[in-house]
Amino acid sequence: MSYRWRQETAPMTSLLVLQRALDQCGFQIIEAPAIMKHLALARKRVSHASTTHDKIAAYEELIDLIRQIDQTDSLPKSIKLDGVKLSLSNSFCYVAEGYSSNESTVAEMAAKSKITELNNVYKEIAAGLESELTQAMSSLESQLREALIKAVKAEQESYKKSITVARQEIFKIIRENAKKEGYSLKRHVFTAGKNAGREQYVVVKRV
Amino acid sequence: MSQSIRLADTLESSQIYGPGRRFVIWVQGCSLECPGCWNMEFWSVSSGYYADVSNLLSEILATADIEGVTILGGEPLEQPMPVLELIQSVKESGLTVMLYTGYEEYELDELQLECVNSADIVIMGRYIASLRDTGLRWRGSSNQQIRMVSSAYENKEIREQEEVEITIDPNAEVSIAGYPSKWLLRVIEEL
Repeated sequence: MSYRWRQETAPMTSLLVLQRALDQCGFQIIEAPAIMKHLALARKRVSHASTTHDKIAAYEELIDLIRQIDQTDSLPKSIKLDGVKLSLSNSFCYVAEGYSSNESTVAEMAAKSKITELNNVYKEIAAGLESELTQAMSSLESQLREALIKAVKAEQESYKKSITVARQEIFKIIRENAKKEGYSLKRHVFTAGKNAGREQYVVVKRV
Repeated sequence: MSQSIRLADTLESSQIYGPGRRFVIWVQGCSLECPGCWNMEFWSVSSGYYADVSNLLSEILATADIEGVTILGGEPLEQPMPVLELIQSVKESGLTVMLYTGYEEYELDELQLECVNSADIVIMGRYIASLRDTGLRWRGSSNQQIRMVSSAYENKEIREQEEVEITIDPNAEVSIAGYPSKWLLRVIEEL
C-alpha cells in the first residue's frame, strides 16, 4: 500500500531562480518546459567553456535565453522531478507531491527535506544576485567581465520583473476582493530605511 | 544595566495596532492561553528569543516616521520588569506607548499596575472567542476595553472599524496582521 504526500514550497516568482535552485539542489528534471532545459544547458556551457572566446559565446547564449522569458507567464504549471512532482498551487507557490509506502517513509522524508533545501537555496540565490554583480565587476579579463556583467544584469532584471509582476498581481487580487466585500484599501510603500521595498495595505471597513 | 525581554516578533511599522504608525513588539510567553487565541505560537516560554531592552530601544529609535510603540503578545505583563523599563524608556524618547494585556486590573500586582499606569493606552481583558468581533478597532473581542491612561490621546475619537494590514515584502512574501474576516483569510491563503 502507498499513499500520496504533499508539501508546499515557499513563494517563488522567478523561473530563472527556480531553475538555478533546482540545479543547485541536484534535482533531476524529468519533464519541464523546454526553456528550463535550455537554461540548464546554457549554464553548463558557461561553466565548461575553456577559452575566453567560448565563455563569451556561452554567456551571450544565456543572455538571449533569459531575455526570451515572458515574465507574465514565466512559472511552469508543473515540473516533474525524479520522484517528486511540483504543481503550481496558486499564483506563487508550488505543491510538491510524491508517493510513499506504508512500510517506509525514508524516501518521503528525504524528498521533503530536499524541498526545504530548495526553498532555502531559492532565497539564497535571489538574495545573492546583487553580490554576483559586484563579483562580476571585479573579474580580471575585460572582455569576459563585460559578458559576465551583462549576464548577471539580465538575470537581476528578470528577477526584479518577476517580483514586480507578482506584487502587481497580489495587489490586484486584494483590491478586487476588498472592493467586492465593501472594504476600502490604503496603500503605503516604504522607500527608505530597513523597510525599504515593502508595501503595506490596510484593508478597512467602517462599522 | 538593561534587562532582557523574551520576544516572539517585532514589526517596524504598522498602522493597525493603535494611533498612527507604530513599532509593534510581540512578547513571547502567555499563561492565560485564551481559547481561540490568534497567537498560540506566542504562548510557550521556551520559544522566541531574548533581546536586550536597550538594543530594542535603539532599533525603535532608528525607525523613521513612527509615533509610538505597541506592546502585545504573548502576555506583556508576565514580564513586568523589562516591559516597564521598555515603556519608560520609550516614553522618555518622546514616543507614545500602547499596551495590550489579557489581565483585568484587579488581577495585577504593584509592578504590573505600574506598567499599565506608565502606558498611554491600554487594551485590557481576555480574548473571548464567543465575543469575537472583527469590527472592533484594535480589539479582538467585545469584552476588551480601551483605556486612555495618559492625556496623549484623550481627545482622539475612536471610530470602530475592521482593519487588517497586509504586508508584501521585497521578495513578494505576504504576511497579515490584525483580526481578518474569513473572506480575507481565504484570499491570502489563495495567493
